[in-house]
Amino acid sequence: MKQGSVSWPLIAGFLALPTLLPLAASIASFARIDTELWSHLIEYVLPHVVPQTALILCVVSIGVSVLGTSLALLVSLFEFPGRRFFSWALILPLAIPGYVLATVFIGTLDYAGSVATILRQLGIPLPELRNSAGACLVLIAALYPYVYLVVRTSLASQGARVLEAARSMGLSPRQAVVRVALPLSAPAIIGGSLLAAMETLSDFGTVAAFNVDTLTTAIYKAWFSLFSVDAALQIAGILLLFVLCLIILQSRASAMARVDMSGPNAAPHRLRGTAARSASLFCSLILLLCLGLPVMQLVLWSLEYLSRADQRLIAAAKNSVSLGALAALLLGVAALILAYAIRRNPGRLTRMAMRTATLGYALPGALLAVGLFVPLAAMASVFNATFSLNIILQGGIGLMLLAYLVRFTAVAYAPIATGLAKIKPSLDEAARLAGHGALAQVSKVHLPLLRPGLAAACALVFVDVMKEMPITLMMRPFGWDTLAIRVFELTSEGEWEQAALPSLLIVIVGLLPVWLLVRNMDQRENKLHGPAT
Amino acid sequence: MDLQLENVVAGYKGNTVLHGLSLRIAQGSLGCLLGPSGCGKTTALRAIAGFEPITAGRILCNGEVLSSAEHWMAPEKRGVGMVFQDLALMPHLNVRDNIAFGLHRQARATRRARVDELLELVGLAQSEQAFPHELSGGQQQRVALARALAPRPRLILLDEPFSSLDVELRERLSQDVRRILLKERMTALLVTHSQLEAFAMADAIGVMQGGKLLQWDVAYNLYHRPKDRFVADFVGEGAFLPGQRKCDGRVEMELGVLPARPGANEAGAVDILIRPDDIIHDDESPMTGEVLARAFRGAEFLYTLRLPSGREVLSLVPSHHDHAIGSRIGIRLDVEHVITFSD
Repeated sequence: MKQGSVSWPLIAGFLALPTLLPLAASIASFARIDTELWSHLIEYVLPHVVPQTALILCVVSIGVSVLGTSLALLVSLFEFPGRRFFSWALILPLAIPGYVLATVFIGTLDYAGSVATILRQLGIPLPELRNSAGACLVLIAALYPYVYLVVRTSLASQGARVLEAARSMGLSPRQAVVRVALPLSAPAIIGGSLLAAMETLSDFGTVAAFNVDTLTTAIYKAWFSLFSVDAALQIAGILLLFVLCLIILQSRASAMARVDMSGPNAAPHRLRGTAARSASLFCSLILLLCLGLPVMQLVLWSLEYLSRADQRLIAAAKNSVSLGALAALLLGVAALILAYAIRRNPGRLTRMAMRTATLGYALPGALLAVGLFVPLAAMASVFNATFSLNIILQGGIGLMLLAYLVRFTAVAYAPIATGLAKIKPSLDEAARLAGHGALAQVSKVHLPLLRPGLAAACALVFVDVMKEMPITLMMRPFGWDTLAIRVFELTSEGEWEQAALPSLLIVIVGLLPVWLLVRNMDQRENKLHGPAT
Repeated sequence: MDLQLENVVAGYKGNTVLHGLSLRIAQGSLGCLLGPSGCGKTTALRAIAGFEPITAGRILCNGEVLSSAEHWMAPEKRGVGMVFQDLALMPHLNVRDNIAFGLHRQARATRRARVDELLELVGLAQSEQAFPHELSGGQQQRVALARALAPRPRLILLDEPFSSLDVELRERLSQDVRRILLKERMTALLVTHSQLEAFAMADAIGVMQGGKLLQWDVAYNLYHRPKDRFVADFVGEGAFLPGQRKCDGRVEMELGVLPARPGANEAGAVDILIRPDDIIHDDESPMTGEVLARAFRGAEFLYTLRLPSGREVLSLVPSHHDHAIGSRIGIRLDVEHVITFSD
């Protein structure tokens, strides 16, 4: 029976509103087309930017699928020296944002870079890398863990068992991988690469560092170079079409049938001789290129510039931390309310509102920035005219937080909803029979049990906000820096070495959720298969 | 206290789960609703607790209306304790705090004394600081019972309380629970699909099917005097043999002519309930059955026998009579009255 009379669908709907605002704004913006500006865009910008965006999207998606899947198959199905270590270490590159990797990549391999110079002296000239090919390479290195993680998880729950069955029916290990393991992982591969594709579409920092123009950088340039928010919003509308395609693909993919046969894991197939050595070598190489060497270079550069760490950097670090903490708090509360709405009223309306509110993870930051700024500025001017006030809407912490709310609600929602789902409804009933009212049920039963989920949600949001670049860049108050903004500014000035220190700080903080993830996964696997021996 | 259900109807949109359930449990006695899953027994329990509304009839406690179509008393006001199927122990509280969970309105000293008393009663005084995940299944079960008993409810409801335990533990624990409930002079209603649990715990048992109460009786009568074919089938083992009921009240069938229970059916074709203990193994008997299957049960064998007509019956035979499958053994019917059902 119902308790209280709070309208949960209404509350959930309220939390979904900020997601709908940028969507509505970018559609509405096509009513105000500036023909002069658009002839410029159509002639010089779009024919270049749209195919480039599509190309990068395709190359990166294919690249991460191949790399992520092959690594996941290797560590899940085969035994070779170092497999246990690689199995978790290969997730770590998740902590390095693409734009940080781009900084190191360009700083070492561009014409003046240290590695490029040495190679040139040895008579090996490097090809030009500050182009879309370079950006694709870096994005693949930064985003393959998405596919790796999902495929590895799916194989861990069902892989080796099915593979053993295939072997017992006379298939060689190679045949078993091709005919059984790959088709079995297809939903995971598609799901993971779609996540990576969404990240690619949202990417701003990496392509900006490479000076490659995509839709996200085009939004930025239209706004801050052409000074036309309307044009920016219209380009965002084009970007939205790409996003919609990915969302539709994703909903199709998640509807694909998924066999889930969890059971004790079977022993992975042992590789010998050359095969074993090649597997170890391959994993080491990937780890070295995507994590080891870049981090080493960052440390070396940072040490060089450590003594010159200026006030600006310290202020930026403080800003990053307080912004992350504020956002973590806001999103923790919002996600908790949303998860509660679903628990108390799991009706169609509430679920629809929840899906809308958590859709924001697919919306690129550049799109959100302009999509929220324009309608809110318009509302402010209407407000001013009506009440003859003079509120000028400009960048501000409040606006940034609103954009983060849209972008990261899904990030905070997932761990809280999982935690809340684990609290059986019978606990609520038991508490009620014991005479505890609705509020006491929350404070005495739910909150204590939700603590790990809440902590995970806040940590994830904190880190994501620290790494976030386009929203922060476009909506911050004038002259207000964060670490990510310092990286952007220094890289756009070509100061790769100086960008290392803020980059390294971002990577260190970014390791926190990855560490949580690895620990969680270990616990789950130990539970399934007994403790590691 | 005295629990009374009068023609209770409950259900969801277009799907009635309870069709006029009536029963009465007197102060201090243990009742049980027994039935297969989906028979409505859990809905009945949740309606009594106040978690499900009812659409007709009344649920009364000492004459006070708890639920009716117009009136609904909040669960926390009913003075009802419940042991949940999944136990619903608070994972973040230790044994002591779990038991004290419903005592938050009482003074500290009273609360302390009551928890001590219950820890003693359920034999967990040594584990008061332990958390639920550190306890065995049986211990968790007893914490759940103690928590439900702590506020001295008027009535205790137990929803499949032993379903998560293994069979051996179930029997021992159900005896323990019965002892504890009797000691606390508690009125209780148990819901289960296991007749062994029902037999071990309850003073009176109601067999339910399709939202209806078929028979409310003591265990002996459910087994030996079932009023309904479903009850006969669901409680205990047995077989049905076809026969003819004569005008003089006797019943004629393959195994002989026997008196029927008085006042049962009218003359005509009937089905006769034959329990495994109704058929005695007797080498002298001219009647034989072919052994089709046998299940060793320690003290006895349960033989599945094929009669000359091809029909099958069950027979419980002391286990030193070890007969191979395919052999023929002498049998004899040993009952005073047979139970008959006509369609």
